[in-house]
Amino acid sequence: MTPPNILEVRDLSVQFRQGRGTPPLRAVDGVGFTVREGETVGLVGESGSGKSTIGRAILGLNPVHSGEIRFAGQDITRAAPRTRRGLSDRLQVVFQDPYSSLNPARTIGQTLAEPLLVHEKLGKAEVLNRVTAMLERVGMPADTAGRYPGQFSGGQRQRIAIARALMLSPKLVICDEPVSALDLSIQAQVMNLLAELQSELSLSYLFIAHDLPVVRHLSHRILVLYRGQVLEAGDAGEVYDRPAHPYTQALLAAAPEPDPAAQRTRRLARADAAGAGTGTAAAPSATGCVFAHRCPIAVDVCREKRPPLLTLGAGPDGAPSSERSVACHLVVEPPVPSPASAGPKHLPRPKNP
Amino acid sequence: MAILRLVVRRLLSSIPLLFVVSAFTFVLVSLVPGDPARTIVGQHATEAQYDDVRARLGLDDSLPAQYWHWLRGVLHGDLGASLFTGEPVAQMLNTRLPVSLSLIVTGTIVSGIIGVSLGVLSARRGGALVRTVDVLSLVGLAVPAFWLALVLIALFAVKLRWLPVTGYVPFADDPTEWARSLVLPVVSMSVSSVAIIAKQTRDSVLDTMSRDFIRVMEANGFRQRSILYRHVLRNAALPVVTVLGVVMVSLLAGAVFVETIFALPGLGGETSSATVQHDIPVIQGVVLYVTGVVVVVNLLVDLAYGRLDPRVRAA
Repeated sequence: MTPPNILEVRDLSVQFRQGRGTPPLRAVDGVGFTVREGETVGLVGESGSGKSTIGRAILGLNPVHSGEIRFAGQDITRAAPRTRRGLSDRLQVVFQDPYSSLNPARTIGQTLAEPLLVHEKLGKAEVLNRVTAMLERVGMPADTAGRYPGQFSGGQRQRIAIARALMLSPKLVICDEPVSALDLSIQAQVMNLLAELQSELSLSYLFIAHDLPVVRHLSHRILVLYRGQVLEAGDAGEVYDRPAHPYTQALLAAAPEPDPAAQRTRRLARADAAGAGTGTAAAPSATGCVFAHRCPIAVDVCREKRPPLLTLGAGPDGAPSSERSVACHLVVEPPVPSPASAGPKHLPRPKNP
Repeated sequence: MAILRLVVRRLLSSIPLLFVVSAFTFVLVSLVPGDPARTIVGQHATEAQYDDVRARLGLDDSLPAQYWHWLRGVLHGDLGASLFTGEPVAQMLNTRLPVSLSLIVTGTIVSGIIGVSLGVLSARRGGALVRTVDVLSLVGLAVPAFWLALVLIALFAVKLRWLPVTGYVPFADDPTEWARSLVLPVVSMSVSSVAIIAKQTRDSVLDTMSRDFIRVMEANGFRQRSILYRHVLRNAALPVVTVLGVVMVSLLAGAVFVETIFALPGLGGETSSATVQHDIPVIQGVVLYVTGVVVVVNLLVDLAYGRLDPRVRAA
């Protein structure tokens, strides 16, 4: 049985004014997806793809132009601060920059106690107990609560930020590039912590990152965004191992490969797909596919008509593909895995709920 | 306890500072052309009279000897006497210090309150108010204080007769008149300080509001007011406090002009006349007092920092 949806985003658009005379910038343009309970959905794309804007719109930090956001069945598209306050025990966030995400003038204990004081009437001792227990759970030393953010490293601060998000046992945590600012070794630790917490607390994550391998590691499903639109969506492993959309392929080819031989093959493949992954002078077409000006296989129709996001048919082995959607005129069925790109080495991934 | 230790340490470390500053001033004044003995005896005095005065003032001694003589006096609590009036320097400055302190303290408070309010308002509202504050800042910084002082006198004292043109009434004599005598000087001194403080406050509030911990609170539906008062201002205050300290010290320098224009019997007016006359004991006394004020202001800034910033407290 499929678990119920905790988050439903329908046809979401976010626009930013760019001053007089210029049309508004469509940061997010008709994006729709769902997050089920206990599931991690990854949003990937380069900067400017609108991935963070989607997260911020869900949190009420960006005004929504059109579309609908439902959280646990409740419409929160334009929720007032009072409603947000009511939601904050179930919907939480972890931001990218660990150095700006904690108030430097307050102790860690004060910061972590804040959500408890808003939502639950607890005695001082009980609050301290909860704070200490949570800090311990995210792997911070016992004396953390009395200290200030300035005394901790980036990775430690990110653990503290995660602890703050989890103080009220939320259902969904928006993770906006939570490991991008960290060293590689620390990234792995923090990602493992997120994965552990998910299985313990049956959390859902909306995991936003520009790094496809990172998203692949944690996510069950992935949405690939470009210029505010979803170009490809589907099961994380399938999208990663058999990218269908030319943009996803370019994005994967851009990630460095630790194995030198594989990296060489990849570099050749990238040279073949000249143009993909590098911006050309041509401006994106207003009516056609948003990726057409950078696409290595674009034909005339791509520049004239915008391809809808369509669900592909069965996979090559006959088994039904788990809802792979691609927005491309030229891709109509999931690609067969090629030997060169088969089985990229990656870390184990949490099981599908 | 830690605070007391900080205060004592800072006051002790200011002793060598006072020594260096006073020695430096002594050398500097001796380099300026001019001869107090000649000024005192006048042009028609005989050479013998002139030599006599020079000897009496100790001007024939070598520079180090003169400095040592002055320093020994200071260490015994004697700042010497004016070369011209013979009035003891300590007594002279003690009556003048309150005037200057009234000016710079009220100037700092007034420009602090107005500057911080303008800065916070423009950071919160944006738009037209931001541009207004920008223009005011530019004007405030560009307008010379002495010119503004003259314009204010012409308008409010001479034409409208709301306020006294010049002069000073001690607080103890009549608090109302004291305040009235300070209005124009404080306003003319504070305009540029308001501009600096408003700009710093706005930048610093905007910087704090751009931080992710504020995003977290907004996402959690905290009220804007409580975010501003409980979280933003506390963090934004640090650079503003630094600027307040700098402003206070610069007001001390500005006081020289303003006191002269408004005929206020403060340290500033005394400094300029003493410098023209080569009245070394008075100049040295003023330097000691001013350095003392600067040391105290910096100490206050550091104490405020310690209150506001846990990182400083830990260090």
